[in-house]
Amino acid sequence: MSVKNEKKFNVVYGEAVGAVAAHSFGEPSTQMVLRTFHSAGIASSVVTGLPRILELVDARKKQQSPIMTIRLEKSYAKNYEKAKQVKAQFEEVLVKSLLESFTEDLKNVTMLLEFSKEKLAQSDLTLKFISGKLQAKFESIETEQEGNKLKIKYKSKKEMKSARTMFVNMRNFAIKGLQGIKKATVQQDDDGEFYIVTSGSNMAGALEVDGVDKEHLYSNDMFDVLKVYGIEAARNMIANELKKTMDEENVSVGFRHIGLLADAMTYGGSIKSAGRHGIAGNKASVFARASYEETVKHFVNASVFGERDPLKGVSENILIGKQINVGTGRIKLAIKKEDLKKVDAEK
Amino acid sequence: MVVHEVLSESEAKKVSAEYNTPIDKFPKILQSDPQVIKIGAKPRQLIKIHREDPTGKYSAYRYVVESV
Repeated sequence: MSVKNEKKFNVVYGEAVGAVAAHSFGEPSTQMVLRTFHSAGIASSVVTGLPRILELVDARKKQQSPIMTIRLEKSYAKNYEKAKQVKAQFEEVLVKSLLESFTEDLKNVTMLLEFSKEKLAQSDLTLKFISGKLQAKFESIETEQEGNKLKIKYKSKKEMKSARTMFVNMRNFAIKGLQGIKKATVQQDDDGEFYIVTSGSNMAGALEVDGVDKEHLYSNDMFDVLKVYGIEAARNMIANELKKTMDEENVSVGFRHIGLLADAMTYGGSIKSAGRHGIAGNKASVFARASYEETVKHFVNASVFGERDPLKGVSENILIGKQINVGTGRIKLAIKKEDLKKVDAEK
Repeated sequence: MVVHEVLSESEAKKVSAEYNTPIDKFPKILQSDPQVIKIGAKPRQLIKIHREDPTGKYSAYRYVVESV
């Protein structure tokens, strides 16, 4: 349907848009479940179909396959060699990938890293460079170099527990490239322009790299988008990803329903999941929460803390059997006392 | 990129009257949001967002808050 025709169907006041959206979204996705399991056996590293939709709707912090699509600036886009140079700046080289072995001495709070000579030569790194990078990132440490070994200790006394997590963080630190980007590949589109696709997402880092088109950076990690471009971009990304996933499975759902879901998820300024830990779990009404999941928990808590329910929403009114405040149910009738007497007299 | 724009107090009142909703009941946007920092909006201001999606071009509004 064209945009012009859709304009004619502006929503009527009191329409239960949420319930309509839930129906419109839910029915085709049950169809999708059936189809998804029939096509099992097709190997793919990218999460699609229902698992992807669940991932988006649950707003998972760690998603299975974060992907960034990086467009290049005009002078880089047509040149394969230049695109390859940009690509080389993306792939991460972790400290732990260069190690032969490591020993943690938690009593004296030191760590001994033994680097492999071949691996260092392969990635064109020196111990001096690594120790400089580590000191710049973790300010409270000192390094000591002996041959192929690097001894790390703290300038001041440090608790065992926090030191231990810091040691792990140090080994997971990206000496080269962008933290979190496991792989990057150069690809070519139909117009002959080169662009980069990465496995792993780090938008803040990608914006710093020369040659990256800052206007057309795309990631499918909603929290990365939220951090770098803000809540509005995150809303658009969630809606577009949901639409894209549905389209890939040949299921069509109107964008306004998906947009409404994305709006609800980003209503408060941060991303909330749609389940019992997010939108549904934060409803004001006790009955509305109890009618969704964990019924007993909500009723017990409500009675212990003396919660009040003004019965303004939809599900709580359905639950207690009252007319819901939606559509024609919104209309209230009133009659003046004098007029009522007239009616009685006519009888 | 989505364009954000700060509304003056009188414009905010107009929007609030049009939607028959007090401005603090509009969807929220955090003070720490990158776009809010970019346009320099302050808490308790209303922001107009020029949205463009498959349903068409339209304006959305968000109310700046200090924290969630």
